[in-house]
Amino acid sequence: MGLKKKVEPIADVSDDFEEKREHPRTKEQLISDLNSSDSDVRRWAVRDLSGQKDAHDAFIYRLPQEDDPTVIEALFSALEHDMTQSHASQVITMLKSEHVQLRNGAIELMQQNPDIFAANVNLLMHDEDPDTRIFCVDIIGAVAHIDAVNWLHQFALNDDNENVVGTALDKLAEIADVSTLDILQTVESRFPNHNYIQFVISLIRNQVRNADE
Amino acid sequence: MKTVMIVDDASTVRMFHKMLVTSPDRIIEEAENGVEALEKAIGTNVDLFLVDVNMPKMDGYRLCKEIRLNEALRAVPIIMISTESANQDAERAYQCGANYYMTKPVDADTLKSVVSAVIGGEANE
Amino acid sequence: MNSVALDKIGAADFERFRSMFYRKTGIHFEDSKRYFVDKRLHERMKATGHTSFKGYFTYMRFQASGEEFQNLVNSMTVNETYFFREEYQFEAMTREIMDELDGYRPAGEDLRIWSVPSSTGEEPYSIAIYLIEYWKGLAHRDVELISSDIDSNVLASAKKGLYSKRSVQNIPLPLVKKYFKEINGQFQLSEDIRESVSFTLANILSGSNMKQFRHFDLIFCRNLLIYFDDESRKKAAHVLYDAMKPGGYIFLGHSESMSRISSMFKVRKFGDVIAYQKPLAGGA
Repeated sequence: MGLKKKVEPIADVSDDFEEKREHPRTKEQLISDLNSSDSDVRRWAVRDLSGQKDAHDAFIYRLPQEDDPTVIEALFSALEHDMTQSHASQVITMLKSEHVQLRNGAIELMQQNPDIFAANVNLLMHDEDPDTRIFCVDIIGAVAHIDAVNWLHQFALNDDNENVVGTALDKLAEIADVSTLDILQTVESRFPNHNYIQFVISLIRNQVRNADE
Repeated sequence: MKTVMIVDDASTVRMFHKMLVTSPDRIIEEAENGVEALEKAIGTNVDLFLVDVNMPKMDGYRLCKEIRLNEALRAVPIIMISTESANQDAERAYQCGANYYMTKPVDADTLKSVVSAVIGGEANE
Repeated sequence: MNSVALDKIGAADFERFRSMFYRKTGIHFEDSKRYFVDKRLHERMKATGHTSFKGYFTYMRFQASGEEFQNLVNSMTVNETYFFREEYQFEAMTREIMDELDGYRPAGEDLRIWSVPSSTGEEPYSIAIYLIEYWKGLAHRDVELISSDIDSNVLASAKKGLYSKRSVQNIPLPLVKKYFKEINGQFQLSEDIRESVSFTLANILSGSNMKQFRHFDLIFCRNLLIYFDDESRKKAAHVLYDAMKPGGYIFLGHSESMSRISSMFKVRKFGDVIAYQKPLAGGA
């Protein structure tokens, strides 16, 4: 017993691996595997379909029905690349899901696709559900888009919900610039008795004023 | 010394809550999401968790469940803090193992007094 | 071209930068690391043609490709390889993890360990030495050690097993004498140890090629993921997850964390040492 002597090349090929070779893994088979009762099979199907054209539609279709967290992660990971505007609308509806992992996945997906998000930001900014608007702000907080500061200003100046405004200010703490100073007084007067909002405004003022030019 | 772990992906919310509950006899730890909270908490002494619901990677509900699955941490009190005000969310929080549920914006005095009630001591004024 | 004076980085700017860096990577810079961080920020400012920190921060923060942020992360990460680096992980392996894994597997089934990237071999060979020296279970259980890298030159070097004094300086002297032969100021690793690691060329992001890497009980993937962007890191996490048997463990580098990558793995701790576990079949 002990450390095995090396073998070259690597000899092991798993039984599963051989088994799968016996059934031709066509795209149709793989898409069907997305509905397998075995979560390992589903996760492997996602991996094998990754990068294939039209697979995105199958992934998006599968997501709301999927309950295994590892498969959900695999699906979102596979969607990150080559996302299109048509997919975006479906992803956005996931922001309203009861399922936290679906919401988080949708948020991350949008964060990774700044231009697609930008095309949808106005819609989200005016959504009637304050939680959805908060998720929109969460996306802005991590997205690499030059309009991010302006969007946050708009939220801070116009949104009626204190938690939405609070979230926007939290994100501004990272990326505020001198133009933010201009709006802070207005925001302050909109929520005069709100401890947290006053706290963050004060923080942002200090940061921007003390920043080097 | 009592250790309070504040778990929230918003850095200024962590700062704010830390400011509210800090005192000389308390150590305040922070984490950005549930995974990081577990990395920091497991194997260490934590007397109270303040947990936000909506966080990336691992949300507050799931973190609660994981805390309750951990032998050493399972009895540690958890205050869940959320922007969602529907009753079923409080219900869900309790089912996951939270002891208290508060909605944002958190009332400063309420937070301070609940924390003091749970771990003793008083926050600095 | 004259060197342009770069702005000193003020406290407020450093605070914002530190907060953003922590948010994205989980790495927190202590105040004591100001000099280290400022130096590297200035290097990147210079490399990207920015004299003001604000200009650099805006450029880096809003760049769609994320390339500059990655450059910055790379520059912040010191990556020197040597034997017994982050030794506390090898200790956790031989003190607790191998026994636990041993308990999961039926008699006769090998335990399989994967070290990726192998770089010039210090890591997989450290694992081999540690197992022989400190894991009693080796008496009744075979262990297979596999190591991969994307760079064939580095693999060739690893197979040769010839090291500098600097590379072996963390190894207790008796072990150096036991496993190395000193030749002209360099240290030749014994053939026995070299024979116990199978080296292969592999790119963890290459998709279908990685499917043959399966059924590992323990994976060392240290200081690799930190060099990837977010999308690639997540893909890599899936490759690693699928490469493991249920109950298997993975170690990342000391400044790396799954908290910014994936929640698929269960967080486990052995003393202060964090390892991530693939859930045992049937539950988390």
